[in-house]
Amino acid sequence: MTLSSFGYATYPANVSALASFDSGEEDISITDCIVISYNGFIIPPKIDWNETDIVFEDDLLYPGWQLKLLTEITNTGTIRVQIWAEISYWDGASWIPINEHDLLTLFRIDYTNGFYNDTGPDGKWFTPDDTPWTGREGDYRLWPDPPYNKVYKEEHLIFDAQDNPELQDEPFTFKVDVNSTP
Amino acid sequence: MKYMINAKIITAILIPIMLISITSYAYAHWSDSVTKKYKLHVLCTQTKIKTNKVLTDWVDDKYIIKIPSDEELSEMDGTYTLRISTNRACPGFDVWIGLMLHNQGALPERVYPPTFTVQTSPPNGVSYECSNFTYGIFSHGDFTDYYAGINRKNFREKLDPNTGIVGKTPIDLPVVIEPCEKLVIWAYLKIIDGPKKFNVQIQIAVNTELA
Repeated sequence: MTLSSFGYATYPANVSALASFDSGEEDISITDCIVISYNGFIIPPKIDWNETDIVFEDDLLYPGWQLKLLTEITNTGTIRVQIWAEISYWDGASWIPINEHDLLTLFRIDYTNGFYNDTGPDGKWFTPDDTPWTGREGDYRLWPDPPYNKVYKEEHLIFDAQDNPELQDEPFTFKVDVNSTP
Repeated sequence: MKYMINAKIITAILIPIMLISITSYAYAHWSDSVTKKYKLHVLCTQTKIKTNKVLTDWVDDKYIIKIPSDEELSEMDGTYTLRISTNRACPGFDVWIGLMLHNQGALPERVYPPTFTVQTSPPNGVSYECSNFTYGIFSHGDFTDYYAGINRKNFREKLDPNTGIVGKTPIDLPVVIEPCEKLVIWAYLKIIDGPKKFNVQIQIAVNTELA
């Protein structure tokens, strides 16, 4: 009994849980870019793209000019990310955030865009049955694991400047950033 | 005279030899013994982590590594040490860790408040918040609302980082739990901000002793 009591008093036990959390990698990339439709004069359309940027140039815009651009964006990191698009234009000194309405007002660019999962039953992009993307769990997050790691962004630009001759010979630059955050 | 001397010497040598012989003989036949063997084992406390849950919607379960794994833990029927890790954390990442402690011994045990040790790398480079809540004492299957019924799908509604299980009151430690009784500990960790590369380690230690 003495031994036992001695043991009880000097050997308290310890139950422990050790949790270790290492940072993951946040990274989205452009993995494909296709001009679906274009009625401009630059043949082929002047487009350069890499993992992070797409640059489209056209210096022969006319009223009725259209471009349909499809971009495949992939989560190439290891953590889920929330993504959203942000439009801004270059005022000669810095990028100024604007919305679609401002884009139309300032430059007569009718801009519509959206994130989609796939083409829908008809197998064609930019048609009404394209499947809107909401993310794996409906929270507009792009997960790192296939098949939930890809999203397709449709962008439709129409130059609607029939009644705005003041825009002639006026260069302008705008960009659409696709941002991600954990 | 010469012969007399020799005879005495011989006798003197013989008697001790015979005595030794007799003595040995007596020992062999007229002694006995009993043996008491003391097999002693210092009793340890038997309160172990019976099961655990790691609940987060930031990563899929397959990226949460547990040692022992859930399957191994089930076979082991409890562990004193549990390791949990993931390499997919980021600012904003939060996780609930649920531990069910079970007194698997034959004696009552006293469970002390858990101590939290958090280490970050780089040091002071990661901001975080953590809290913990203990519930019990459970003797049968009366822990559904406190543990079994809380899962990956509903933990955002069931668990509050400030109050613990919504609508339930945590208990204060230390407490004595009887054999077969259980306690549930829910620990919360949120990484608020950190550099591009960081590591956060949190150790939840629960001291127990025989009551």
